Amino acid sequence: MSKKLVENISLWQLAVLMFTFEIGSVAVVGVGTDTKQDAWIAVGVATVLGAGLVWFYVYLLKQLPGRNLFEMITFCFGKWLGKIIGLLYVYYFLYISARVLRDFCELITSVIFENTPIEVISITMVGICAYMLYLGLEVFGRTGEVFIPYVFTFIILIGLAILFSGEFQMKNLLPILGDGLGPILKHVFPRLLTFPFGELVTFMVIIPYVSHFAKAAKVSVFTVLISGFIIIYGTVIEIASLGARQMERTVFPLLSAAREISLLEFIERVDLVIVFVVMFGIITKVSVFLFGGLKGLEHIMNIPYRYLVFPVSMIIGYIAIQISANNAEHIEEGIRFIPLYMHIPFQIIIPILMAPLLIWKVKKQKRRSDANGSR
Amino acid sequence: MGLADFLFNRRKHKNNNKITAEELFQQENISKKYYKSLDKNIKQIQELFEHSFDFTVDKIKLGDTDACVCYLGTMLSKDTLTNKVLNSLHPQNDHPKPKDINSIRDNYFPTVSYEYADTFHTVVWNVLNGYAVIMVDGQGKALSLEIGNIEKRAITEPSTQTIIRGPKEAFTEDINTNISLIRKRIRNPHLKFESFYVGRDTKTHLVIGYMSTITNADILEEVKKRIEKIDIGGVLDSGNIEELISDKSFTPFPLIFNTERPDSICGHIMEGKVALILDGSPFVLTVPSVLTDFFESSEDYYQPFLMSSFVRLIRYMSFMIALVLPSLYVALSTFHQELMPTQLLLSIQAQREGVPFPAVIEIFVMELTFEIMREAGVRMPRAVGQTVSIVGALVIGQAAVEAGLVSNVLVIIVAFTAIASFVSPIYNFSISTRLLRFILILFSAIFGLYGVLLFLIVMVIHLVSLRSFGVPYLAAVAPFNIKEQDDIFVRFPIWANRKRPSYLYPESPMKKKGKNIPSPPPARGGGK
Repeated sequence: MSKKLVENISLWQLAVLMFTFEIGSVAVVGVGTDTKQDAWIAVGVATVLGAGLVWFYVYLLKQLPGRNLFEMITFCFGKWLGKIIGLLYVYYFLYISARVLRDFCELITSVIFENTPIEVISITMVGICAYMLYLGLEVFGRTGEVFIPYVFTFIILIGLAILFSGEFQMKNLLPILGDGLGPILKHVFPRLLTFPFGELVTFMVIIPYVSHFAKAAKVSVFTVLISGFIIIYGTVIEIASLGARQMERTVFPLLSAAREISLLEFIERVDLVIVFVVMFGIITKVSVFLFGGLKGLEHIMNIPYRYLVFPVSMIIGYIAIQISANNAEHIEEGIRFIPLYMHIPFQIIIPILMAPLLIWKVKKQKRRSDANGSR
Repeated sequence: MGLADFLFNRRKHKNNNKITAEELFQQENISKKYYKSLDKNIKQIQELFEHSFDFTVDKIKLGDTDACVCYLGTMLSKDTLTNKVLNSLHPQNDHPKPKDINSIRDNYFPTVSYEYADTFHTVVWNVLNGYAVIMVDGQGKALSLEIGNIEKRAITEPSTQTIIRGPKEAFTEDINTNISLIRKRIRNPHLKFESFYVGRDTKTHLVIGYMSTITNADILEEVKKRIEKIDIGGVLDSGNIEELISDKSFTPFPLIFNTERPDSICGHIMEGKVALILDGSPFVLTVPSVLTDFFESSEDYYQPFLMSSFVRLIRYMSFMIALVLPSLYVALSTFHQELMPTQLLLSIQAQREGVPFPAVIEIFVMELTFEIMREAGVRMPRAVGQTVSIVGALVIGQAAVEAGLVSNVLVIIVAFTAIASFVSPIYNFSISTRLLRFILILFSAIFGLYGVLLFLIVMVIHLVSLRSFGVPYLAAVAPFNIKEQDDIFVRFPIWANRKRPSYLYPESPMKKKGKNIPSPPPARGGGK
């Protein structure tokens, strides 16, 4: 087998990647718009559940320290079944990364470059991701560190700017829980829990490479809570500035909210700037999924993932364009089919099925090695 | 990561690096043997130095033994040679007749520093270094006497890195002067200087200086390894060394710090870096260096910390301005007019009304013109400098605007960019912004703001992937280290800065123990 290059990222880098990952496409498409003015409550509930889910993922990883998702699958299901399930995961990761990429392409082509072919955006974006992953996970983590201050400050500043522009109307948030808890819970599961929180299942490929693995669980849960808080903040801004009705109708809510900003008759139309802040979130998200897929292919095909980076990323660039004919179809797929047929099985069902099998096998292995040791 | 482990893996410290003349001349076709017979030696050395007018062999007699003094007349001061060597050898001085070479030295030159040369290689090497070599018939070795050196430039003020407050000395071309400038500032026996000779033909003296108690042993080992690997015909300036030992050549960013300020070098050595001093170059290198080093001027530490923090932030800002301002102009005026406030947009467009070129052509031509003027300004003889600046300012600036070729806003932008690019304290860092600016303009002309951001992200990815002697180039920012932030973007007061940069893995990480904050003495109830 070829020599594996062992790379490490720090806990801080993991937190940064998780944070930008969470913020990434949420900042583009918005969440919880179906629950109207209670969207922020739904996000809050989903955050708590999501934190639990992430804790569960890290708990699974802790059973087999140093092995990533794919190695764990092989460990649980054996060589051949493991390969098949692994391949399914690869398919899932790559498909979602193409979807995230498409989200951004739609954003750019509909807001900024109306006349530019979508292929141009798709290829340039995926090219950056490929270059970054080619240089390795370390570089990925560090790039995140460089950009996190900008992403963070800009998201905070949007809220403040809307507040100072006088577009922030608290009464838009009323009535709180007007329709009761029912619709919220219905929306949280499956949609809000799986997107954006359940998607953290991809980090099962990255977390094993964290240098202080023991603290990974704490850091991940904490990061999810923080990013959930930021998403709530963003959602409150969207509702308060746009109102529940308008928010439901817009395709890119945060962008529409930012359009309301007008300060000193000088800072206007900052929605464009938002697009570019969002860009880094998208790059992170695409890259994390791409990395997950590539690591899976590396495990299945036994060749270093660096050889696969460019071909696979170019395929992603192509799939991103081909998955749907237009934006409406793309969004519809995302709402109707993806949570049910992709997110739930891969994020929840398979890990839950795997858990008892994993614990049992680890115990068996331990017993065997203990027996060997005593002999 | 693999590379870090590889570099910081503790390796056995190799102590012996005394370079002999044999090693230096092993590739050349020079005979090694030093004969007992004087005639053979003279013949040998005269053959070697054939066609060199400055090579002299003075034949003398010590009592009844034949002897000779040979030297390169241009490499030593003739006065000292006459006073110290030739006079004492004069037959009129009646010294007791010496028997062997040791007693010759004792009797004739008790105060001159010397070296015995027992191979012909050493003789040649000493002659080349400005020694006077005395060869005596029937002796197995020659006596090399060190004569005072030739003329050298005086220590002057730095010409490329001027500061307002702080020491005004700069390095010169003479390596011994340079080392003394460093030694003068760090009076510590642990300050080591090890010497190397690089260049097949030039055999240039290269000295590495470091604090043995601070510098990480593996970084030091890596520096030595890379120097030993240098294989090149000639080395004329430390710039050559820089390219030969840096981690990566295909990058616009300098991976090795250079300066002509001794105080700045001392600061680096005290942090745990290694200085490389090349004979004949007033620019001394330090490794490993990180991006933030290039934004630090030694004056930052001599001015009040609030002021220097502010100035440092200005430097980072002006780096960004120098990099992106022209491309932002292109992007905003061609793609995203809606981002500009209406009034500003109107006035810009009104000015651009008569301009026959698209913004990108306009700015490309002007930037190119500026680069040409800058290059001409550096290269041209001083006497015509006035002419160029007048022609540049008047013709290119004013006339081009009046002729309607470029707009006024654009001239402002080009000028501002140019000034911003000079803020970097280290000249060769601004080169990278110059190069990248042009690519950035192209990107923004194709993709607008999206292109600018695309390029900046690629640039950051490239930056974080760089390493200088195993140390990440963006160290303290990425990988982020909160404890290092006291001396990166802002500078905390000197008393608060207690640790050496951890990314250099210093052998002793603390600069000092206590936190002695200056504070007024306790009140004594002066009112009473």
